Amino acid sequence: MHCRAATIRPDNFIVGATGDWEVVIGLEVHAQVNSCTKLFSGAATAFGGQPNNQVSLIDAGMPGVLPIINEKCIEQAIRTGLGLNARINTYSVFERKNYFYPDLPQGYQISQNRYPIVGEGFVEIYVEGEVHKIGIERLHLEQDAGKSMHDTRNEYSYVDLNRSGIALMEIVSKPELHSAKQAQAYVLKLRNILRYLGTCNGDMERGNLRTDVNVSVRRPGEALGTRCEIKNLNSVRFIGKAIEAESHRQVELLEDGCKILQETRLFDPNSGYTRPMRSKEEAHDYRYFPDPDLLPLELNEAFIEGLAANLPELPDSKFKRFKKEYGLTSYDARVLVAEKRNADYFESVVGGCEGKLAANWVINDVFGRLNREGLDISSSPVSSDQLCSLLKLITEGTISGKIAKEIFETLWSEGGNPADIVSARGLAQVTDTTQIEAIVDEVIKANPMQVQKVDDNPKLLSWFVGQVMKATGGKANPRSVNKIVRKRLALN
Amino acid sequence: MWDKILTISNATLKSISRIASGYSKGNFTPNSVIEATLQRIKRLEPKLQAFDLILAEAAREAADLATRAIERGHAIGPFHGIPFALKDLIDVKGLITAGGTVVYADRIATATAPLVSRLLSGGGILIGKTKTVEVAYGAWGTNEVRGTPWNPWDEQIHRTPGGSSSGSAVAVASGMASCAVGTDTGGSVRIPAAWCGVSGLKVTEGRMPLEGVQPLAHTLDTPGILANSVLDTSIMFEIMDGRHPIEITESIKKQVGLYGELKRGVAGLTLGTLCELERENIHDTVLEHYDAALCRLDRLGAQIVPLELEVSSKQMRDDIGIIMSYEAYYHHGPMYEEASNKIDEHVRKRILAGRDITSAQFIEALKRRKQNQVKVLKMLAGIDAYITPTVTSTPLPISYVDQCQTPARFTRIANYLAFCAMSVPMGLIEGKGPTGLQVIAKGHNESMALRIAAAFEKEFGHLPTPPVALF
Repeated sequence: MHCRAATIRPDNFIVGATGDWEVVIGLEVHAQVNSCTKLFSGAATAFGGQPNNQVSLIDAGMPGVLPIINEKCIEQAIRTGLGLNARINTYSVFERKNYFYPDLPQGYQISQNRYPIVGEGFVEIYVEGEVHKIGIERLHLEQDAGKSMHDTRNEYSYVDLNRSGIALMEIVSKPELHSAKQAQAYVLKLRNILRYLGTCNGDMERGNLRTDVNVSVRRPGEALGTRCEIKNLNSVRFIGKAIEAESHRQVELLEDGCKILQETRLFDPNSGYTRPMRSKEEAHDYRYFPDPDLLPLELNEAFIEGLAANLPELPDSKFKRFKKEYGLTSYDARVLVAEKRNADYFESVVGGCEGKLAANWVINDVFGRLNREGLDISSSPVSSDQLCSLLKLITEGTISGKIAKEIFETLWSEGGNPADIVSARGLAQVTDTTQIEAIVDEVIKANPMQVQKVDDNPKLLSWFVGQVMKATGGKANPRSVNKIVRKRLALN
Repeated sequence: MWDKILTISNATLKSISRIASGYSKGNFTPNSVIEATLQRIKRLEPKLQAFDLILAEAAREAADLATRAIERGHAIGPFHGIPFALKDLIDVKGLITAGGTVVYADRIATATAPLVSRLLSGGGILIGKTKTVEVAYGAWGTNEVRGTPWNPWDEQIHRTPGGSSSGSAVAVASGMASCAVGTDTGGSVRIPAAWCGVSGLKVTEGRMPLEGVQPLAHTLDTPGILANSVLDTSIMFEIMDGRHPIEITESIKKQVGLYGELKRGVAGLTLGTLCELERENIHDTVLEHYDAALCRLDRLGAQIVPLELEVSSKQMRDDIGIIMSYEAYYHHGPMYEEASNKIDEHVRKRILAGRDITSAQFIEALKRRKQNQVKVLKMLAGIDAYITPTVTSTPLPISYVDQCQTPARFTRIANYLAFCAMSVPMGLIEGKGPTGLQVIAKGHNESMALRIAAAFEKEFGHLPTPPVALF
């Protein structure tokens, strides 16, 4: 109240001593394409093979061999483009990006420069109660490089070419992100879309989703400031930390009257520093030119339409459908669609019962428990079938919610079939009304004082219900009990 | 009321001078700075454990008053509206001074220490009382009873924050307070400053009032300052030294007095450095940073002179050991003699060692100290300062600490000689943490220590926000 300015400032501004600063972030995500073989060769792409066991002559840069484009990779790139609401370019060109490095035996990387396969698109992210539409600048295909290993032996460096030639999609966002949180949400959303599409595993630890972050700061409303690029971030947490460290570093420099140098930097998670890469490594003139071994890639509309028609349901539409079809809240729907496997689990549970009931059980009981025990949905001790039949028992009125929790515990630790557990332990609810009526009558008979009072104090009704529940060991159906007690006491 | 917390830049929140400049430009108010600070504490304190007491409500009230005063044009000076932390060894009326123990946890102060009064009347906002080694007796920063603060330079491994002003240094390094008060009897401000990557100044003994400061060894005790830059250290030093805030504002504006000194550089100064003998048993990386620092000072025009002091650092350390444990036993012996008291066993050992020192040994040590002070002063004629690494290693994993050793080898020199000394960051070793450069200047010559530190800092730059305190 005393700081009037606080309420009108967007909370993602960095407030400096001399004024406010807006952070501008653009991301380049390198996603390894899900395909059995490499972009231009028939060598396998599987992770974890013996070094240099998945290398063809092309990947090793041998002379006299020609690249052949992998149709599967093209399909995957187009499907990704469609998933990002992007324009697919029917004409694109592979060019050579020339540079010299030990893990690049060809002496150039085949990439797309002027004519990428996918043009502008967008994704929607949800951050702190707001939806932001983030523009995609382009998506292009390129080859991955091999891997240098310097720490195997002191006197040698080794090169593993298994990765050399695997297809990468470079997905470039527009500079439309304004905080570390937004950038993190963007990467998570992108990864989610790629996983739904099955075009990339998105496994950051294995390096098949790597991110370069461009950060600059400016006074709100002014032209873009000089940016720095932070290379090769391989976890969502580091993306956040790197952006904070870098944007605050730039604010400090500018407030001290210094200039920002456009440069490539590395983030060191141990020190919290971003530090410049040696400028030698980045002062490149790549001398791009169209690869003479590869014709321009021309696609026909029917091919693209065919792929579009067979696209799986994506997170945003699943989110809308979950809300509509199952009557879920936005929160529940968002939690469920955030991982494809979670959404699938929910959908195979929801078959026999109401959506909200299934969502509550899946989110609170299953996910909550998995989280606490550090488990993944794929290793959940309670399968979706088991949970589905458990919830069916609730819906049918065979067991109460309370009993269901007990059975869930048993399923978690011992496994089994919910229906069998119910009959084996005699846990089924008493729904036989004559049996309940008899118990109700007994309770009423035994408590004449309470019966007199109930007219003045209708709240006593629940006391009667409680007594009946107690007498049945919690097995009576509370709804039937309620109904019968009302009837017997002549209450409405 | 506070639906949105401002993201105040890390560099601003950690700096007295930047905050003051933001206030005067009207870009933010004490309300938002205190709120951002409290927010940071809420986020980081569960991991860092720097505080024994957080004064959130009192700080909010003070911020409110400061905001109104500044908005109406009644700014007191450069310390107005600055969040500071206080080592829990120093009295504030109505608050407990536990001195890092649980035994003293019922000692409610009846008066505020004059040092604190000066900071408060300068407009400072007390944000909390910070963790300390029990009765300030220990330089690793560990406290087995009330907990050891987490050094913010390592996310995974719990490393020594340095002590005894451990919480103060951690709070300042992570931006949970812009600056903090510590105390220094053998290195208790400079060691945590070095290991947490902040500036630490130990003032000359007798320069500032010690009333309301729980004693460890009254002969050697001095207050000290922890801040994120030499300029900030200077501002806080002058406030604590009793200078009027308006005068400080004027001096800063005109760049005169101490602020003129900070700009003078080191060209023409003669700086004594470690001789070959004293370079033994220092970690390689620390030595590397130390030599690089000397190179920088040399490049800036200082004359670097390796110096063999007539009294070795070991002799000084041993004498200080005698004086410290003898006096500490006098002050705290009863608490540590009582076997049923819940206390840190490492500190108990140090204190009880004082029981076996005879008064003759004690008086001998005091006498030798006087004689050695004269000797060293004579040989330092023509030398402006003595430069050492603050500590011989980077922060150690807590589990590696040998409590029978002390990391105070070079810091005790200043306490022994009744000099003043400053530690400034001189490097950062990835995955391990910062190292500090110690500038020891003669008694009452704080401006020389600050001047050399400022010249070095300008050349070296500031450390970034430590990884734990990032997003």
